[in-house]
Amino acid sequence: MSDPRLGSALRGGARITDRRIRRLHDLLCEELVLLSDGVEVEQAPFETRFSVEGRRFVLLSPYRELLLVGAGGGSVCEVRIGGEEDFIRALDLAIESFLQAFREGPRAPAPPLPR
Amino acid sequence: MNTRERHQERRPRDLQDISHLYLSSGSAVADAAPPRAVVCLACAGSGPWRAFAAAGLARAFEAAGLDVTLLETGRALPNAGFYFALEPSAYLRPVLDPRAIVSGRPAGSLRFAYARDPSRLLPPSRGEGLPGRARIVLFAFDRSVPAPLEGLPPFVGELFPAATVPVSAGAPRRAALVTAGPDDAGGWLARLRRRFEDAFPGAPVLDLPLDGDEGTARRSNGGYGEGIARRSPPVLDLFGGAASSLLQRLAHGREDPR
Repeated sequence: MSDPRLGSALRGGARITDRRIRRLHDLLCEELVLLSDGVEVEQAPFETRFSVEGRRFVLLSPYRELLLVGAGGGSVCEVRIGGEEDFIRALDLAIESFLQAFREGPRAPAPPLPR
Repeated sequence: MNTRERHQERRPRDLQDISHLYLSSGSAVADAAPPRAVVCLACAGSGPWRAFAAAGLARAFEAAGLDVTLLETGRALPNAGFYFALEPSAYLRPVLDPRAIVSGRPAGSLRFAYARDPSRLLPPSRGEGLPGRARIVLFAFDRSVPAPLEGLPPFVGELFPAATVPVSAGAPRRAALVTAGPDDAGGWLARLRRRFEDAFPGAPVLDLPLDGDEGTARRSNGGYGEGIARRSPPVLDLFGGAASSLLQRLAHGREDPR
């Protein structure tokens, strides 16, 4: 896939040493990017943030031997990915969180700071 | 007779009361195989609209008294299995196994199948379906579908060879195209529409304003978007109205006003 968003997202999985978990991380990133052309990916030093309409819906926190997936913008539901069953649960939560963010529509820009 | 009884006696017929008339063969003797129609739902935009519209339109046809087979394909999640409340391990199976087919029977007369590879989907066999109900196949897809006809698999034309024959006066059309989403990236919907009209001259074409400026306004104002995150088939006037319009036009062969 030549989507630059995916390239950015996959970089975050480089620190995962467990191949099985790394594969699931990459698969998850691919599915999240495909949810919508409007999905944005932001790579931070220790996490990858996925947003739509300016609303964050998933946070990936890769470690050497595990992956934490936080789904939701406000109250976050965290899933520890140890295998395919966890992966499916995390992806389902991510989809639900994405749909909530999508439903709410574009976030209004923050008002300018007073001078 | 009291007021309630008088009201019930005068109750206007809804679509379910008369849908069987719209897809009848017109002959005095019932056909051995019930007549069928194919509705192609082509979604251009990204996001959940393909699955949302597929589930909503399928539910609307089923509520109208038809026997419905929904065949869905496309790369992006979710698929209609989410809106039919399938377990995550079921509707997400194609993510781990690209050849997997998600299938279910959300209602007695509504069958559903999804596959990422459209070649894995097969049209319903003649033996399927509830007796006495007119049958309809709803084929939902998006831009990601690789096919010779840009999203229109060959089997759609194979299902209805009669649809390619010039329609005589009074003969019903048996195929319809529903488009949804903004036509971006090179006019995919416009090209698809032209190919469909060439293959099925005079067949109904309908647009669902789910996305784009109008759709976005409805979503953010709590319109269609209210159901987009809910694990149940959307029940919207938009889909009911579309189903009603399509059934009437399929039966009467009304030209799409342009």
